[in-house]
Amino acid sequence: MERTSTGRHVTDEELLLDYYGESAPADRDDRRAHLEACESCRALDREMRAVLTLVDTTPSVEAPPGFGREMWARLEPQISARMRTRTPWWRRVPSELLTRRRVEGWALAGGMAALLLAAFMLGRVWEQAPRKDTPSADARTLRERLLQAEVEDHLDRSQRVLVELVNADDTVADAFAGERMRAADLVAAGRLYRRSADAVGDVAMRDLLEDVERILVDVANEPSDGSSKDLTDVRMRITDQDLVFRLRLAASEIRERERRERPVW
Amino acid sequence: MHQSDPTAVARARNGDIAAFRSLVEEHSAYLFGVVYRMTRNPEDARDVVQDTWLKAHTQLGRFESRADVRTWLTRIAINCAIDHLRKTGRREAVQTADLEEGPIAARARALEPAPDRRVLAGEIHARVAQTMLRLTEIERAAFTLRHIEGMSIDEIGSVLGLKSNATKHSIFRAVRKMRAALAPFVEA
Repeated sequence: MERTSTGRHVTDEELLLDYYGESAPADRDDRRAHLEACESCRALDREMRAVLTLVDTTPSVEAPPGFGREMWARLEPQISARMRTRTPWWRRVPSELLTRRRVEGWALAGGMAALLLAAFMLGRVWEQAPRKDTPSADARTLRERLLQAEVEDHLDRSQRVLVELVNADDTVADAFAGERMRAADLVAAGRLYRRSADAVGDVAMRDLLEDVERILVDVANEPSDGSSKDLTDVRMRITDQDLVFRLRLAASEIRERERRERPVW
Repeated sequence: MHQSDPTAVARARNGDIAAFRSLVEEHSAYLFGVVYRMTRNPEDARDVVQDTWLKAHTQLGRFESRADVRTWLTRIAINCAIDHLRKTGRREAVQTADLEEGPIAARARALEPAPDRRVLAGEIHARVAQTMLRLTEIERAAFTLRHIEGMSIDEIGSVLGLKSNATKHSIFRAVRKMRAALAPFVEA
């Protein structure tokens, strides 16, 4: 029996690679020479080709007529919503911050201090890193990332307050004592972010911040003799609206976006 | 590839919704065909094509202008189909023994003396479809891309995130299963 130049019969893998034109020309020529002389390998080759031809006879499945238009009809609401929110709404926050000087209060002062500190820290990092873009592009990216971090921090802090309320001891006299001030601090900044989200059509974020704001306002205004019934009511509203989970999700989405947009230093 | 495709992707990336719509209307039917071979179910194929476009939309920024739009979309579609199959765990519960000596094989042999070609063709198509469902997701994807879509092994490896040898072996295993399933018809 004729052998290949390597002294053996051809394998089905080799025949398959030849069939698909994926083998080296020299190897293929060698195998062709072998096939001419070897009936058993020719039989294997015939069988393989016959099987693949049978697969080819299977009719291809066509999409229904107008499938492209049908698909667009399914996609359009989601894609349009995404396109509307493509410019992240927190990028609109700076102008609001500049024009609404009276709303800042302690929350905003704390936020600005955090911004300055972060800017200082990031500035140090940037000074040590080779610059790829123009200075103005770097400055814009820095500003956007800092604002992004600020919004993310707001969502995290709101989440912590709600978690504390859900787990608060309702047997003590003033069940809201620990959270009243913190809730008040968060209201002004949250309102600012909510308006920005609304202005750019980020409906999901606007609704979330609105739902959270209602709770925070009630907690901030709760009298010092707030009863356990009031606390139970607040808890029910938090859990019914799934607020802790929604806040966590929104914060993690911002973190993910921030991670994707992070420059490589 | 349509000459306008990379331009449409660039416009869509800049927020042009009409450009994205033109891509959807142009390529959805093709993607349906590719995905249907993986899912073997029209409703699943519809869902996977929809997922493909949503993913493509989020990945517009990653598209390289010199790349082929259809190849890029196929890559996303195949990976969406694999995810879908893994999530739904949809795999035909057919034993190998059924494929080798099952009722179809018996009928194929019974048809030998006076073959009714249309019936036989129907049996073959059913057997091919059944065997495709028995392949693992990766085998099915690799075989579909190589045998039906005509992609090279290197391209398939890049689509599936596999090395060349692993890609080859996925195709070998798929073809081996197909040979076992279709042997009675080849003999007939």
